[in-house]
Amino acid sequence: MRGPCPVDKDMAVSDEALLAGMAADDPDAAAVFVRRHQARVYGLALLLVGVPAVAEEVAQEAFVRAWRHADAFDARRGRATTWLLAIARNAAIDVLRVRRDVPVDPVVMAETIVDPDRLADRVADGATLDGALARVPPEQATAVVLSAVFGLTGAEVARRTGVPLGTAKTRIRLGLQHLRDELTRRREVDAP
Amino acid sequence: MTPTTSCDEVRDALTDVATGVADGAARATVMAHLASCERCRAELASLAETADELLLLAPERDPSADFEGRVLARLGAARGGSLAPPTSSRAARPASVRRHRARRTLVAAAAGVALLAAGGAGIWWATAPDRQLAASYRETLDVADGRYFAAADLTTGREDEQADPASGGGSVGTVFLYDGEPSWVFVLVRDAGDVAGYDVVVTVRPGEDGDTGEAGGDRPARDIPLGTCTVAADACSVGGALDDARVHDVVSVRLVDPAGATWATADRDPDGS
Repeated sequence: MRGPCPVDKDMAVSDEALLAGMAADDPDAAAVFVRRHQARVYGLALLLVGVPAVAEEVAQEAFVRAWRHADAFDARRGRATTWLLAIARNAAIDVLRVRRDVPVDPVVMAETIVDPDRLADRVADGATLDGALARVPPEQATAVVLSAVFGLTGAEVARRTGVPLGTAKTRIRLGLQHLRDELTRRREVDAP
Repeated sequence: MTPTTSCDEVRDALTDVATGVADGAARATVMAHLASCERCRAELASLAETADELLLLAPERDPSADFEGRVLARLGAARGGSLAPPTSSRAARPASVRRHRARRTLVAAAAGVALLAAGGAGIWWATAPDRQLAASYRETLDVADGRYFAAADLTTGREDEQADPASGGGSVGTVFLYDGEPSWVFVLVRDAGDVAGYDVVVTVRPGEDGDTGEAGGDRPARDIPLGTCTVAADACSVGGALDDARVHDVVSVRLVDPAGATWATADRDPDGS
């Protein structure tokens, strides 16, 4: 095992610098990057696939893919965290496509995520996103989460939520627009 | 140029691209529209950012002990060896090369000339407007499934000649490539000239050697006919799947006129891979 990396060094280095280090095959940078993000990546993987062993495989795969594409990351286009989570989500969806035996019901999970009481409880941590989502009509919020997080197409959202295809597509589209507008509004308010 | 599809026609597909669930055909439709619709490019960029942000809703969970060690072991295996401690210049040197490449990209973008867009397995170049087009939704497409999306400029001249846009041999369109299952190529020509159409030929090199990224030696490249780009109103577009070929194996995409001559080409960056 390698020696421990000082905590202050971990915190000081930006994700962008760590990704640059990973792109250059720097194992220390990779170790810090993995340590910093593993709980988020594994948490998302577990949410999507439901089985700890499978989720660990997915999370590992996500970091491998992130390493492969580390030099394609563009900080101007977004945060490293969401970039990495998008990779993890896609890795999880790849797994879900070949094994549907996972115990996750995306609709139940999505409805749990967008539950108004839960969102209210999370105001302190990540208030902007949870608060914005709370302002989106629940059926639209559920449809958006099913699509953006669980990777369901409009047809799959329609089938799983028991609504016509056109309704599902409209809910996803309007929900995403509402969320975008609400996030924009809140950030403008929050800005100094 | 006027969009070939209306904004309303692509709005659902645009949402699908933003949330990452669009299939290849929907992506191609959206890209063809985005090529000439700045408003939808901005719309997609903001929607894709919002969709990605939703991933932060997942609760954090600690993986089992030594998860980090197993990831590092996989990274070591993936690059064909162990990740040795960075005791030599070996680790530092590639970083400086990559940083240099990034700077060069910015300079090129500022100059509005052909530039490099870094992809995981290969590097393609595009003119500045097309790079912005690609960049506006790269978060969704660029690293989708660990695969990547690329846009390359289609020119009637050689790459070095069109570094100066005023010197002729200019851009006539864009080639989009998506590495997926299947991978596909979509060709969009803005200034098609006075012909009925072009046969589009994709040249691919032999597949890479496993995960090492080594090119397939001296084995000959092969041509995959993509179809005919039928010209209407001075523009044309055609797309198709590459079947078993991967985007990073694509060497060039050529448009061949009815007389059998190559009229325009999108080349792989000679600096790439």
